[in-house]
Amino acid sequence: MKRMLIFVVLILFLFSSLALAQDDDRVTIRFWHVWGNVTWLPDVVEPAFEAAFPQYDLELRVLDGYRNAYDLYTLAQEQGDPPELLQGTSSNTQAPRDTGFFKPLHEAIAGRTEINGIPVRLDEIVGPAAMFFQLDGEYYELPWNASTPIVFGNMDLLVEAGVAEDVNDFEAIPSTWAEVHEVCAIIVDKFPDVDCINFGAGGWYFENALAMQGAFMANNENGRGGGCVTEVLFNSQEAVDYLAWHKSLEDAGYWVDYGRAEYDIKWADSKLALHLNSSAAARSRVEIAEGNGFTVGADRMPYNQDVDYVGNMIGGGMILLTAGLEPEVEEGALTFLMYLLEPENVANWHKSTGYIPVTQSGFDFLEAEGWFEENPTFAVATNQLNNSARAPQTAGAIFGSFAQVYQMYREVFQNILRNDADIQGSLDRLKAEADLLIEEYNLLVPCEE
Amino acid sequence: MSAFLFTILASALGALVVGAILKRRGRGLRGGMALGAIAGLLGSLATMIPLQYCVLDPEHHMFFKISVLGGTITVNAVALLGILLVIVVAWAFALAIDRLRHHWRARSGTVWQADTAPGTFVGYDFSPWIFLAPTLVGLVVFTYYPAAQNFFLGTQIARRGVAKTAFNCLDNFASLIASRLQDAHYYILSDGFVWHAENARYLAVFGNSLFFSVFIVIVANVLGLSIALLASQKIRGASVYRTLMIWPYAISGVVVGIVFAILLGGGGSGFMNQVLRLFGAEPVPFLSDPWWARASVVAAAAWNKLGFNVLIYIAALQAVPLELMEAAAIDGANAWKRFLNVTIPMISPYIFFVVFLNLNYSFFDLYAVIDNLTEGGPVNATTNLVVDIIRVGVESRDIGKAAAQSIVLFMVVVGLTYVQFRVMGRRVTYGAD
Repeated sequence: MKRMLIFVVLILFLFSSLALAQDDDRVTIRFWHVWGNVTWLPDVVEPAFEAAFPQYDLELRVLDGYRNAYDLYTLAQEQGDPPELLQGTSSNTQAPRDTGFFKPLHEAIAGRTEINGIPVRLDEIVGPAAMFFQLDGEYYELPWNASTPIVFGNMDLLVEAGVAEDVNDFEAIPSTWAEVHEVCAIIVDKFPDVDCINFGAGGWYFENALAMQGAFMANNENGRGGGCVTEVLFNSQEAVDYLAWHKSLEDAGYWVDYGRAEYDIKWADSKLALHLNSSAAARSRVEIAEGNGFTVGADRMPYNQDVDYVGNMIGGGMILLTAGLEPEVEEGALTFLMYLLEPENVANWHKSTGYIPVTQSGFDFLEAEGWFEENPTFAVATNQLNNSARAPQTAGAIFGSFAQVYQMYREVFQNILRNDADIQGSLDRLKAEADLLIEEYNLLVPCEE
Repeated sequence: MSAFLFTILASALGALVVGAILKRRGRGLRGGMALGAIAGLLGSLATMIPLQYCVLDPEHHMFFKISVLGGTITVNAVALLGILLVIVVAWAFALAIDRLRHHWRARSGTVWQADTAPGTFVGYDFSPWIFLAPTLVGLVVFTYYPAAQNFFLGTQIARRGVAKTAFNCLDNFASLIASRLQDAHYYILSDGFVWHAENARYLAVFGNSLFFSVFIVIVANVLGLSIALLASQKIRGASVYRTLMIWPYAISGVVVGIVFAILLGGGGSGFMNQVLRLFGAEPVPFLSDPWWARASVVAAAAWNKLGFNVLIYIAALQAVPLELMEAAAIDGANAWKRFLNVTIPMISPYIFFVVFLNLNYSFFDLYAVIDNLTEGGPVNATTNLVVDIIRVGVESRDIGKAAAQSIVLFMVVVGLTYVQFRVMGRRVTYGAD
């Protein structure tokens, strides 16, 4: 009996060793990302990619948000074993480029039209995303999760308040700064326990507000006009006007500051009428609404009706390719990147989240399915970006100390709202401090003109 | 001022100060002056050579204004910090040299007897080092080296993810009390203010940390002891009450922050305000008013710590000898006097222990509660030292400044612990004797 047991164990060991040895033949492609809540990646993409390309072993690792992504990646680099692919946030495009850890995508593709039989679809990237993610006409990273701020509306509340005719009347959602005031006056008057509008204090809305009014975030045309950014332009009249509008909403009791966990609860309880958020929140807004028996509508981010609308910009993230990989490993990583740009994958990614379909073929795939007709909430972001001018203002600013400047902006914003700080004076000081930070950063990473 | 002059001045000042101190202690002026001169010399060299005498360089100078009783002076923050650093290091050298001299004299036999306390290794036996080596190696590798590295980082312009760093003198430290825009201004009993600071962000953060520490310790201890006293009564189902009162301790700071955010947040339509409205009360801006937000953080953190404190205090109260209480009662002491004169002294080691842990918690472990409850707002009103380090180092990716801040936090905690042991330690009664 004992001998039999030993024999069985040995046989099992042999088989498992053989299995492992077989696994070892595959090229491992590690992809660290922050989409832990999207099951589509591990459930569908990973098995489908490995079935299509049995020579590759795709390993997905979920990171706890963008904040940690670069830090963990930097540690992995220092330990000499970085993953092949990393998701980065688009609000910080310059900093990862400056690390030297990553290989520009266009260099890795090197003019090829297909990788491992998958077409290279970078020329199909839709205009706004192409403009945002390109630098000097080239892609450094793969544009993938791209979104833009839009307003979600609780249509049942808007109908009950008499603002909308029916739950499909998305036009009733305010699309200018003045309309927000008008609609909120009605909402707050009709429902004393409902908050009219909420949106975060993040710099992204500020950036969008400037772009919509045709103003630049930073000099040298947002760092895309041939020279590097050496100063920010945060104290422009357009910036003052936006913050004055935001402050007026707060003063009137229309905009309420929520903690991190709160807005979903308010939204679910129908205690919040309008929610300005990333279009990437479309899936979660709709799911919460469906679970709580109300209808969601959406419309463009409200703009300043007193100046000509220029356009909105993108936010989100991109996928970075590690430099210095073995040729077969780099080929595998590139294969996976191109696989993600396949029309069906672009479409499914959009459906799972609300991020815009980044390629035209992905958009066409969705349209052929009749997706946008059935789900008009999901069409707003693409429409908003299509209506945006292709200009350096809407391409976003590029400079290395972006994260710090964002953080400083949040503090100044709160000071204006809470302490009634003088808007122009606060922005002047913010600009002066931000310029010093940029000077420091440019000292570490000299600006290549 | 040249580097040479700076060194001579440090040495001369060291001689004067140490000489004067040792003379007052009756240990001789000449020896004291020599010790002071050497310590001043070594202290200035040990600090200024690594810093490349940058505190003398106008390029690194950062100023703040301070107005006291109507008079205003401008202070160079970098030079001030540089001088303080030299004083601290020179002081350490003076102590070390004095100690070495003492050892040398002990070895030569002059004060042999006096120095031979029980447990002291005599002479230069290497055996203690062998026994200490495993711990020392661990300490050096995991504590002292990172701490030194952290100090080095504090003197650099450094960004996470950027390999290159640039020397920045003491500017990261100076920017905590001055502003790089040179517009920090402190008013003390001046210009209509008792105390006021303009463009001094870090000082406000520092104040928040002190506020939280003081009030969390007071609330959590007063309530904890009160509840423990009640829970120690002989009532039916006491063990159930005790368990229920202890369980908040088992909840993580993240959950505490979220629960309190749901209870107190949401402006006028938030849960707690809905409850208040039922009773006809006006809504309270729990998280949007700076002082209410601070109070909310104290409430959440104290609630979280309450269970632990109750647990310890119940154990402490059970350890108070009944005969002492009976004796006090027979002597005519009423319940309050028995509590004040018997219970409190008897449980003082426990109070010391709980206060020490609560204080450390308030300084080091509040991040999760604050981040989830107020995110440090409104307008940094609830940003304490740890939250700010995370914000500067992780969110803003400025690890140079974060390193400087963490050194300040470290020094504060060391200082507080020292004061606590000195002041509170004396009042603690260990045992019944």
